[in-house]
Amino acid sequence: MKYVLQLLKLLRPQASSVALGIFLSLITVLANMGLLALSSWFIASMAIAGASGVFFNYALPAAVVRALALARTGGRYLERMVNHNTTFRVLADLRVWFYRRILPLAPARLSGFQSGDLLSRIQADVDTLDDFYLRGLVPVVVAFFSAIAAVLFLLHYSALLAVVELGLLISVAVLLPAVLSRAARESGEQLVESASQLRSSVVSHTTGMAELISYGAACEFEARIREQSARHDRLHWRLSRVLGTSDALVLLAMLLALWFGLLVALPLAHSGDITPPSVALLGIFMLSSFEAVTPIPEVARRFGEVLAAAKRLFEISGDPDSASASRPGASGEPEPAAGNPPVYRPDTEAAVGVQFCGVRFRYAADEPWVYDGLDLEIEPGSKIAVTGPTGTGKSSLVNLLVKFYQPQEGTILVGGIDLETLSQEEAAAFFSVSEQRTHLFHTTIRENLLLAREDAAESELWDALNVAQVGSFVASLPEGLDTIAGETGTALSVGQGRRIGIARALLSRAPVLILDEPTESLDSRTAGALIGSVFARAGKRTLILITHLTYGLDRVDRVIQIEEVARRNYMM
Amino acid sequence: MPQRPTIFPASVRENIALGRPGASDDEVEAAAHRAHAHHFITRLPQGFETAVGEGGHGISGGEIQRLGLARLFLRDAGLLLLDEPATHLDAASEQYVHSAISDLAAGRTMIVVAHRAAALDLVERVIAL
Repeated sequence: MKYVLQLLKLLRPQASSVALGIFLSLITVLANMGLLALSSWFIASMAIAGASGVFFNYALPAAVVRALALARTGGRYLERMVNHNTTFRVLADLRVWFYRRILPLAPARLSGFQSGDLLSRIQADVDTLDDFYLRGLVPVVVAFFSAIAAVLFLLHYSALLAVVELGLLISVAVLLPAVLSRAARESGEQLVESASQLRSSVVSHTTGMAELISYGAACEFEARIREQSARHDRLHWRLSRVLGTSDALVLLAMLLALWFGLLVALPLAHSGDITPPSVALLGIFMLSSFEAVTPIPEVARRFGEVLAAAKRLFEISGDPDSASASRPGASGEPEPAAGNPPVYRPDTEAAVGVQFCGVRFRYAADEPWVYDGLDLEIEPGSKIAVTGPTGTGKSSLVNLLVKFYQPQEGTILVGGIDLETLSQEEAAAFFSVSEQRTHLFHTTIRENLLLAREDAAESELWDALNVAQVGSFVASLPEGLDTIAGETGTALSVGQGRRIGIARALLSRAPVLILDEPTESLDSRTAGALIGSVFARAGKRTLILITHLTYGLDRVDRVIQIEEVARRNYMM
Repeated sequence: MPQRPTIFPASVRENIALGRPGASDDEVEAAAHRAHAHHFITRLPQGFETAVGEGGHGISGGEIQRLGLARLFLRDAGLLLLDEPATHLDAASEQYVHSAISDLAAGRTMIVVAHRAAALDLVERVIAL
């Protein structure tokens, strides 16, 4: 239920399109019920009139049939257009929102998931979520209202028919899913889970092929993949059986409705309570009134998968509410709402300092404090190094500064401005970060660099690459700057990728430059040259060097041992 | 052992056992011990049965390296090829890994590819390319 509410929250910006889409779907379904019932009545009446030679006014019913047919066709067309458009917009919002949240995936959040299949998993999960609106919310609301309309209509003819109709509709839309959805949801969740397992096995089998072969374990691993694949098939089969049963039961209910309709209507017609053509009308009406509820068991089943996907997305990303501040509008651009202060842009000329005052921070309530009263002042324009053993919170500094995470207590000032008052985008504009694990996008090196500064000239790109000590390497590539980097691109080593990341950070005009472990996986000569040229290049900018190695420590204004400043003594 | 040993989505035990498919539990644990991996493994939520790799419990670079070494101990081959065995590690982990490698090297031919001077203590001869 919690996830359903969170999903509904994500629909909120599209509320008017959602309402329109549901309204059009409802019109279409009602038009269809009316169309079938009225046509059958019309045909029966014409037949009787023809047989007995009585005059029959066919103009009005014929016009109504035509109008209903048009309403159905036009309604279906418009409904598809509006609903699909809404779905795409919701998905686009969701992707952007999620991407922003996932970008920083700090080690703490990632401990349960490893990055390899994360992207494909997120993509599949986000795609699954499109079912929430189009094949979840819409059919449920439409079924609810059309069922009420159908029962009210029948009540007009016969209370017994209305009760039978209500009973059968409830059986299909409520009882059947309730009975089957447990089985279906279980299989659904297991299926998503097993697909993800299978995917990561295949991925690691491929990436680790050399090792598997050298250890003679490749066959054994293949057998495991085969086993997982067989399990996946079995789950699919089980799900199909549940689905087949469900379809059969829905069909049974529809035919029972038709049968009951005739059973009740024929005596009524015999006794003269209703006209003979109304028998056809009632029978066909009951049959067609199932159109709206037929998809419900399928909806309930897919819902298992949707919930499993939503659960995992929200687990990784946190509550959608907390991100709503930096959520972009439908256009993909941040909307500067009227009355809000304009987006703050840091002055790139002035040096900017950073201050942490009594900051307490941890990644989750059940985890130990990373900072338990962190006090730290970094002077504008100063060059500092932050060192300390693994796990003492060096990289968490970055996560807090760029507002990927918020401290539980205390304040962080950047250039004298409370970080709390800035949006994540505004905060991030102060900093240029080269992360410990640089992510290069699957595109050219040039595009990867231009991310930091769109208007950078070719010479500036080379300059940044040279400062990062990777210029001659890139120049040696046959395609130079146009070489594809990224996961499936040219084999850049970890160190080369990292240095391209550093070049990217250097290109940015942000006043505070943060380099997280820039010299790791570099040999000492390159590391020394890199540090030297980075310092020369930094100029007035504030430079924060996060490192566990010793390169550059002799050149900074101050070395901060993070574990010494991270804990204030709380005397209670 | 490559620069970054691949950790497969399976338990720690199965990951080490890849070094020699069919190895007994005792052999796996002994190998982990010799690779200085025993200590961190016993602190994992389910010890040797903890799932690691994709979707499993996260382990650090130094720990991955030591799992890779445990595979080598289990493999018990006469010729060892190590590519940057301790590059991504902090000083403490590096020390563990180096002491495990010295153990491992006894009685075997070993070729270490490295760019950091620390690795040079492990070898008898250095070839600069």
